[in-house]
Order: sequence, then structure tokens, then C-alpha cells
Amino acid sequence: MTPYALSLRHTSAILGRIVGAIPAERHGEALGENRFTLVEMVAHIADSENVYFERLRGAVERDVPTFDRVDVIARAREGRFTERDIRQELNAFAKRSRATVSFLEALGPEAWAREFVSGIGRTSVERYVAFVSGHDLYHLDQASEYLVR
Amino acid sequence: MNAYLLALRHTPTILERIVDDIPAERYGERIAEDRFSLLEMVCHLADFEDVYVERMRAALKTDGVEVADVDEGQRALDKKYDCRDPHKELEVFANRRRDTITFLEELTDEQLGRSFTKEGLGRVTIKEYLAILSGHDLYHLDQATWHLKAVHGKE
Repeated sequence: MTPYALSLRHTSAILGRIVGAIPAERHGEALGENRFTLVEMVAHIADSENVYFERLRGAVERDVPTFDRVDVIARAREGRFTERDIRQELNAFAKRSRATVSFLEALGPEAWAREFVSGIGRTSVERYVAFVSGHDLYHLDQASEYLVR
Repeated sequence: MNAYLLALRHTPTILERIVDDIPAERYGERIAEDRFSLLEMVCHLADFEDVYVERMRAALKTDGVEVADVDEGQRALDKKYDCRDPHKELEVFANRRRDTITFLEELTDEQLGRSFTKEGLGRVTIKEYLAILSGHDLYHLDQATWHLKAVHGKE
């Protein structure tokens, strides 16, 4: 088995426990002018998981498909992320993340090398999973900031 | 730049914030009998950062080189992890991780394809090892948040 899906296995559990340590009255607080609030961020990461999965599956099933860039701000506004229930979003993220990891763990080496085009340019399944891991850690960093501020 | 570096750069900060949220008197607790305590885990991450970089440097020098396995539990005993200062270890981990990222940022695709061989792991390229290291980070962040949950009682 390739090691590339290892970094995605734990994110949802880590995020759930960090959020559990932050008082509910802070879930609507943003730590910077251009940052998501905690509830928006959790809804965003749950929503993004669907986007990532569709791209990864598309790359495996089709030859170099192209996916439109996603406007995450517009998506948050249209999806009313501020009004979402943070526990439901954490559960949705955990479920979707498990599905992504199961899908990736079943891939053979040739599937990991398949490519697609998205907002970050032409990339492979393997490189995109590394990008997703970086995105996960960026938001775990954001969530952990609430522990000290 | 290899995208795993985006993930690896965040771990020390996240870990420090979690540890700082846990009362010092609980640093010696374990989430399971066969797991490191929180303090030992922080020491392990700081200590093994050098081990990981040495393996990658060895692969760069000699493609396919065999590297030694390291007994994590024995090393913790030998180096007396349980007597260390966690905040000093967090600082060491952050400094070493910065050095690791600086080292990795300069590698070419060809160099990322070089490999080492280790018992129990087989032949691993540097690129694959970055994914393993990222997974290892998250495995231990997962462990740290169990301690956070024990303090706050919620998930």
C-alpha cells in the first residue's frame, strides 16, 4: 500500500477534539478580519471534502478532467455556513473523510499518478492528496489558535 | 515545492497550543498503557526529527542505502524522556522542524525520488517518506487531542 493517504486519516478526530475544548460561545468568533469563524471553518472543511473527493474520483475515472475553481467565500455565503450546527458539520466531515481515505487506500500505483486540472493547475492524485493534507493542517492550526486566544 | 511541506510546517505550533491547554500535572498521563505519556510523546517528536532527516540525508548520499531501525521505547528510556522539560522539547521540535523544511525545500524532484531501505518498511523514497512523516505527525496530534479531551471532557 502507498503511504499517501496516511496523513488524512486523523484530521477529523483531531478537529473534533479541539473544537470540543473551545466554549460554544466562541464558535461564531473570527480571529482575523478575513478569516472564517470556527463554525464557518468546520462547515468549509466538511464542504471541501466533497469537492476533493469528486476531483480525485474524476481523475481516476476520466482522462485528465478539468474542474472549475471553487470560490470558497461565495460557497460559504450561499451555503449559510454561519448558521450551521458545528457538531453536524464535524460528523459530516468525519464521514466524508473516511470515504475519501477508503477510496484512496484502494488505489493502485498507476491511479495515484493520474492527473487532472483544477484551480491549482495540472496535478496528480498523489500531489493533490498532499495539498489536501496541507489544507487540513492549515485549518487545524486555525482551530488550535482558539485554545490560546 | 513538495506539497507535504505545507502540512509539516504547522505541526509544532498546533502541538504547542494543545500542550499549553493541558495542566502540567497531567503531562505524565497516558491514554493507553502501551502509548507514550504526553511528555514522552513531545520528546519523541523532537528526538526523532533528527533521525528522520538523517535517513533522508543518507538516501541522498547513497540511493537505496540501508538505514538502522530505532527502538522508540528503548530510546525513550535511555534518553530519560520522562525527566525532560516539555516546553524546552517543544522548542527543540520547532527548531528542528524548521531545519527539516529548509533542507527539504531545496531538493529537486530527482532527489525526492531517491530512497533508503529500512527493516519493516522496505524501500522508501524521500517523497514517500514525507507522506509517512506527515501521517506520523497527525498520529501524534491525534494522541495529544485525547489528552485535551480528558481535560475538557467533550469531543
